[in-house]
Amino acid sequence: MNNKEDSVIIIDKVSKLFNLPVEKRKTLFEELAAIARRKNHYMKLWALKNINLSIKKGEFIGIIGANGSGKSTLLKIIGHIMPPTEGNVLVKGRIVPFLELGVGFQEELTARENIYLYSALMGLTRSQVNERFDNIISFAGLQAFVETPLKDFSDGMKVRLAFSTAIATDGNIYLVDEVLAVGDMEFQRKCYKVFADFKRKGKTIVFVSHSLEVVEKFCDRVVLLDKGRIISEGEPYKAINAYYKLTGFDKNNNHDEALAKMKENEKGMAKKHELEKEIRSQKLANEKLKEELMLEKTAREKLEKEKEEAKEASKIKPLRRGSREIEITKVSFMGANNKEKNTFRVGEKLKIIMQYNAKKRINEPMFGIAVFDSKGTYIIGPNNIFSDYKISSVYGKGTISYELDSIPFLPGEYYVSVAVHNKQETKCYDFHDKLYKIRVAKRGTKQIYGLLELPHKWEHQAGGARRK
Amino acid sequence: MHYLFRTFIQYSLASEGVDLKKKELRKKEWRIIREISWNDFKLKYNRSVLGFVWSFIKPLLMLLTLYIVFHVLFKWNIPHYELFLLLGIILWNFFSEATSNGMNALISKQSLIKKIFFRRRILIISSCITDVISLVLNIIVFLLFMLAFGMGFSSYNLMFLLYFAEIFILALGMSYGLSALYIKYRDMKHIWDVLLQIGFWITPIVYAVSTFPQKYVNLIMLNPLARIINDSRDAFIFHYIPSLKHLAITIVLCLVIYFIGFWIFRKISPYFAEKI
Repeated sequence: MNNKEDSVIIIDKVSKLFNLPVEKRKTLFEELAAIARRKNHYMKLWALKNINLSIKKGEFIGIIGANGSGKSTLLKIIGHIMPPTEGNVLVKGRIVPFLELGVGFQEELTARENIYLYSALMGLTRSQVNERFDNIISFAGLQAFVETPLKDFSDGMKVRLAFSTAIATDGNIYLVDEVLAVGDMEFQRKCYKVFADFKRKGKTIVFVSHSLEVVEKFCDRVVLLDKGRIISEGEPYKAINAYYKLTGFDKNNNHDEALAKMKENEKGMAKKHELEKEIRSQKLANEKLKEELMLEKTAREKLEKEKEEAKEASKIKPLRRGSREIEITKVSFMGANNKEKNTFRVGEKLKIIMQYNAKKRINEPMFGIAVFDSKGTYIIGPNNIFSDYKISSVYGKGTISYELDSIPFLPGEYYVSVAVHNKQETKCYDFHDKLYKIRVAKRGTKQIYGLLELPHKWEHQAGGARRK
Repeated sequence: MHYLFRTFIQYSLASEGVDLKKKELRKKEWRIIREISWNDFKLKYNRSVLGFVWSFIKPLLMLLTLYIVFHVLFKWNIPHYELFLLLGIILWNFFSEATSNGMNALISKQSLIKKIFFRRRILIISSCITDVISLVLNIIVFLLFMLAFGMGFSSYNLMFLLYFAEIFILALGMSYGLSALYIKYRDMKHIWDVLLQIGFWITPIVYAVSTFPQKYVNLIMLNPLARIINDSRDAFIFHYIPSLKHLAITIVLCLVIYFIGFWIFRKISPYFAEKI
């Protein structure tokens, strides 16, 4: 119990039950009709189950998990916007909530009116707001739109205004839910700066995000939620790895899995059709069962949809093409001691090894590699032809490797493509488009801006002219 | 440990820093109420050419219509009928608008409820105060009418301050109950619309209670709004102070309604964010 003294948020055995109406029943008459029919069509859904967590002052804590895992609900309970069904939430300090891309602005009010209203809700006096007003507006970059009603703003503008207003209040606990999903690069950079600043000032931040990269970059501790329970908690990389395991996007299986799926697709098409037919007829036969399924579906629908959206958003579209006259059979990544792995540190050695099998003799093939960051930015694209490394011909099995002495990539996730073409790049033998994923972990650098950390040296000399 | 929990809860309720005092919270809440009421008042007449002049035109048009129907056509002969009618219309309009807007106050501010923690009653109070601004403006117009029709001011008029407080408490209490119920049942809006229509005619607005036999008068006077309107006319036009018993009953009726409304509101308010 003694460690609770310096905690600013204590979540004690918190559970939250949602009664999701299966049929929509918003009016009094529908309610009365339902009572008369003695039906109670509520789906019980535990959005959170027995959550215990205490957050210390100055901690930057990340909450990750799939959509529907209870992240946002947890944040809302911490922010006292919803009461927990069971348990207690204790918060010491002033909370600044920033939930679901907004802080509760009113559409009809102008930017100015919204700033004053929000600041009043956050406990600022009018004169305090007067002092900060210019800063808020210029941080959001909306000097020209002070008197414009919010409904005429774009989503990006709204988020910018909301964020800059929220950070201007004197909170010490910030609840941040997906701020950076909207907003341009320039604004995101500014937000990171603010976070770094908050961290220095010892403010507590609870951060919910789908961007594992950002979570890993900023958070001291990460909590992984799944179906309303805490699955993993601790060092960022630990929780993130657990998340990978959970979503099945595990490291080494990636390649094999993708290949296996492709083969299965080709072979199993006919079989699949048959199966589908069978399922369909079965469904038609069991009308009652279907009805029940529908009831369940309504409640789950939302979760499903969100999951799909997340999948789409993650931009991973594994693709393989080419004639396969030379086939790349295996790709592996090795670190310092020639151990195969998928997580590296900045500055570590990286060796990418391709095993190939050429079905006929091919002269001067071009093996290439491409590395993309998680946003799909093309970072490097070396190949042996450009590097003047000539392979006179290939036939049968063999390996080729590409080695970096020191990984320059900043912490984050990177997608790797490998390919083999002919010398003129007119013919594609085998192309694995972003089929591989490696992770560069936080340990090893403090750098957070930009894409790369290159070998470098700083030098400082005090005084005016340089003396020899 | 228990003590720790309790203090924590206090902090969290206030959503404020360690040094928070009750007085400070009040101050903060008044700032919010002022901000919201004023914004809403501005919005009400936003983008209209005549602006807040509409808040005078509406009751005056109503006055003109009802005056023509009942005084000119039906030839009713209530003394000072124009002032009698105008005061009734003004008070009724305040009650009907304050309760309708109050009922809507939570739904129309749902983005705030879903994202920020604050005492939800602030929204209802603000909504009622917005309508109080209109009421005050209307009463000023009424006072000008009094002068125009040769009715001077007198110390009896001060009794209206009490009735003003009564009608405010009544409207606020009704708004509390209605707004919370409206979140659960969206048909409240239609039900309340119908009730207001009926209310207009069972409340002595266009007619005087005294024209009915005593047994009906007692029935009509169960309605606190009827009492307030009647008493207000006494204060301004007929210069009469009702008995203490009568006044006490009115106050008790208003307070009972207020507490019922507030009780409903308190019951449902923790779940506003998820039920909206």
